[in-house]
Amino acid sequence: MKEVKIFRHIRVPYRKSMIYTRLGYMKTSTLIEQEQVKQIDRWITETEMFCDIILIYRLIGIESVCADSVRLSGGVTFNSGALATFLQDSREAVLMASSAGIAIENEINRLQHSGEMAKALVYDAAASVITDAGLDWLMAYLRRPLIQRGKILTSSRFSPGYSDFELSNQSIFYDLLELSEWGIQITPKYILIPRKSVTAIAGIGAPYNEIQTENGGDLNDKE
Amino acid sequence: MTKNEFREWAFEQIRILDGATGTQLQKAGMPIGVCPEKWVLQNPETIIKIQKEYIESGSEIIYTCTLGGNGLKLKESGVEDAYRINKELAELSKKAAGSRAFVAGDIAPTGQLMEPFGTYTFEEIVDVYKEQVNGLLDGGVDLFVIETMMDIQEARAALLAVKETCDLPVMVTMTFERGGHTINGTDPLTALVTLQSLGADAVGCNCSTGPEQMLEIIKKLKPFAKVPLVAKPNAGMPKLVNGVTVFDMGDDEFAGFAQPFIEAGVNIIGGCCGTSPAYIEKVSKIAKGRKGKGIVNEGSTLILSSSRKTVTIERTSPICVIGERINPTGKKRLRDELRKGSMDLVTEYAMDQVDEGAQILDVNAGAPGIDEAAMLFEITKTLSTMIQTPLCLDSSSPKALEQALRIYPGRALINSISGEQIKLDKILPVAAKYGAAFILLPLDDNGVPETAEDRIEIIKKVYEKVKQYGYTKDDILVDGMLMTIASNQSSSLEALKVIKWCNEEFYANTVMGLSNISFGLPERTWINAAFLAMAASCGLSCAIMNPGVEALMHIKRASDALTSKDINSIAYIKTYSKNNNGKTAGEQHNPLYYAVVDGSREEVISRIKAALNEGTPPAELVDNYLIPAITYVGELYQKGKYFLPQLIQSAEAMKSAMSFLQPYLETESAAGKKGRIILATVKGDIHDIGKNIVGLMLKNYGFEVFDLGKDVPCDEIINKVREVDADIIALSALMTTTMEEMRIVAERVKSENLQVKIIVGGAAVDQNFAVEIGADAYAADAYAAVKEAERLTGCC
Repeated sequence: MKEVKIFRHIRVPYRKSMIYTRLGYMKTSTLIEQEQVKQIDRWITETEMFCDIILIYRLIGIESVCADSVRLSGGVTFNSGALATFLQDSREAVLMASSAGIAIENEINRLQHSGEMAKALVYDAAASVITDAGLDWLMAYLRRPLIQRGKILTSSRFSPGYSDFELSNQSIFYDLLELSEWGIQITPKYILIPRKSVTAIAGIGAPYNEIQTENGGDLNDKE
Repeated sequence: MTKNEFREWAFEQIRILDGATGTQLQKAGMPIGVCPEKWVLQNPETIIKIQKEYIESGSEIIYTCTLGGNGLKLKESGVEDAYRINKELAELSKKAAGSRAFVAGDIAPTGQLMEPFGTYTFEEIVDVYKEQVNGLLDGGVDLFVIETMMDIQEARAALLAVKETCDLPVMVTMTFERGGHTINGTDPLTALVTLQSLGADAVGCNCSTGPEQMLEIIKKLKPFAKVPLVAKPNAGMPKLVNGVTVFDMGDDEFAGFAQPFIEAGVNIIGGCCGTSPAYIEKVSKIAKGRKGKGIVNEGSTLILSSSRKTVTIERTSPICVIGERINPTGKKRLRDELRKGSMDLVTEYAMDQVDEGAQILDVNAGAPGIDEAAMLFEITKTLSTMIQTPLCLDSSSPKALEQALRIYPGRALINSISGEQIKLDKILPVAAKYGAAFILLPLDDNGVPETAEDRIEIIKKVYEKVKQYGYTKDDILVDGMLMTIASNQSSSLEALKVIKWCNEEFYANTVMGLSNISFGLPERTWINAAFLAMAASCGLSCAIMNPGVEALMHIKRASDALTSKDINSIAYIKTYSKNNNGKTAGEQHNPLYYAVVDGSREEVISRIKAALNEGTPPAELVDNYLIPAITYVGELYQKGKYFLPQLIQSAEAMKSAMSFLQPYLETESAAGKKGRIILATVKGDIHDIGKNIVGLMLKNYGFEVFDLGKDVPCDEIINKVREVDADIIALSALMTTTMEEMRIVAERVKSENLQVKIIVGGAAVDQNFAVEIGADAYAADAYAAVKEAERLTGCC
């Protein structure tokens, strides 16, 4: 069975309020008229149409967790004390990526070039939230069967660039998730293209009687 | 057990389900990671023992051990022959149950996504479930349970698979996340409405989180439930303790929720992950034999759903707008697009109408040269994934309606069913099969009756007929049968009589196709608007109309307020009150000033044109209105009264104003250049929207900006500084890997002794970093960049 799995064209639920917050909206102070809300909401809905979310993930066993590093099955090592703390109770990891595709990126660029900056700004914020919501969706999707197997997926996730988990680790995600196969590129400075793309790692805690495989367990069994 | 027997049985008293099977199997020695269905068949005594324990504990229904028993799931574990496995597992459970408990054939997610999100078609998934259903059926199950569903469409596929295979009762339970939605965004009420209308005999939730959150869901569902409600929660959430998975809720605490669940309206209760016979025994002691609540609300509430949203129509609620624009009749552009197979215009019309206030979208695909059934299917498929608004399928073709209803992931409205025999024979059964609501049209094979009395007779006759299919008044919208007054002026009054009768005597919701009234007349909007107000006074529930016609929407809102349907006129006031954007009370400004403050580009240009025509000097417009306005916008932003989109919209309005005025400005106004700024996203970084916003703001505040773009090498920046004798370099970087480029630029400026200031900004940058690399300022946002630029150039 192929280790890297994907979901395409996913329409992920997202919280509109997060987009407003990202744009600086403050419930207690920002004054906004109905017409403006309607317009911004419309732009957000349009963004959703331009986002063609692809979700890519793989499960991988964790060989060891030291004070400042995490070694995965196959020998890949992430040097990060913060990540090591985050994964200290995990025996497997989920590496994952979410990308909103090139259409939304092109549209944001087009809007900027045509001078529609407010719209571009809202599209940009909405696309970021929707892309991130893709990882929320994926984690929720994985969590349920894990619970039914007595396993526990961490409630949060860790992305390259957080704390001491350097952005350069993005290239490891890029390789392990075979992102190039899905038209995603990485620049020499470890920026993913399309820019509305994000990678992350989450941990899976498992009881000691788990039958462990080198590439992590399979999620197919339930209850 | 028949469906009716099940319903009576479930409403008679609280019924007890089993608890977790998987964790019990693991305790009995099943290794984690194996295929449970296969392992149980190799160790049949284990499941028989567990299920007998559950029955001893009080379970009246036990689930077959077939949670992962559909063909797709089994295949992932390398197991073929789903039919045989399900049959044998059902037989084991029947053996365990004997005559002491019912056995429910357990069906759960395939783990695959359907089109357009996955590779499987809806029909393929239905077929996968049918194979499992047949196995369970032949194994002797008494009923079915579809559980742990995360995707409403997959739940529908499973439910249809059971319905199309047998007449046994089916319970459907969904799994909701912490926020109260499935992972695909379906809320509990939407799931209930969709599933109970499609024929589920009990609906509820299982797994999810603990009983606490599930209790809240049951409370919310009860007023809308027409079927028994099911709760099968986990024993809290799992955690790892010393390498062992434990659930955080003990049996006593778990059983403590039994009473609140009964009070909330649950009819069938059990346990999911982490529970055991001990949990069920304690729940059973509290709940078994107790009288549960029946249906608590039998009022005339019509509820429609999409996959993520419900719309409730009540005679006491504001008029519900059904958007009429997705109809190729008389719309050449839409017709041409549909013929080409393009859904762009359909999507645009849908979004526009939703923005304009439509709560339901009427979809009609009938036109010459278009295969109506195929087109209605495509439009339904497209809109149901893109738009959350429920659909009204407008067709007289049973085939078109059946194809669309089958894949529609919610409860649709059908437009329409009349007293015509062909409609009753062909469309009514289709509507009933999929649980669609429908518009009841008061006409029959003799045509449209002239008088309200005759129309009412048809309504009564049709209603008697549809009742045989299980329909109630909650499931229909009665059409007043509006005809144009151009041919029969009294038709409007007859239609109003029908509406009034429905509202006051028949107690059903009503609808009108508003534009019919004015067909053939000039200035139709006035006739439509006047009639809408008249119909509202008679109690109209819904109007099929174009929400893009503002006059109609104004009349609708006003009518809702005047008929007290808009309680305390809240919606009316919210729509029509201005919040003044924080403008100082009593302060009077030119409309041009407000146009900038409000960020209205069109308004700005029209105001400038008017002012120029009146002879106002262009420079005066800039100095007296535009600059004070954009300055005030900056203050609003600083105070948090404006957020970024508002700031940028005002900046865009300002930019439009300045571009328009440029040819008129003979001499420099106060908006003359404050300084020259080189703007760039540093080498290696390709993010530029923040930088572009800074550029827009700086230009608006009178700076001359040289935007070098993104991924700009240090040399290019330094060369440009020399070329234009820049005052400031403004650098942007979003990533930690690229922010170091700022240091390189700062060092070059220093080493070459250039008299230029540096401002840095971007997500990865902060004040400390700015100080560390020797930059002159850090700007947290675009407005701060303007303020820093003014400070550094001495222009503030």
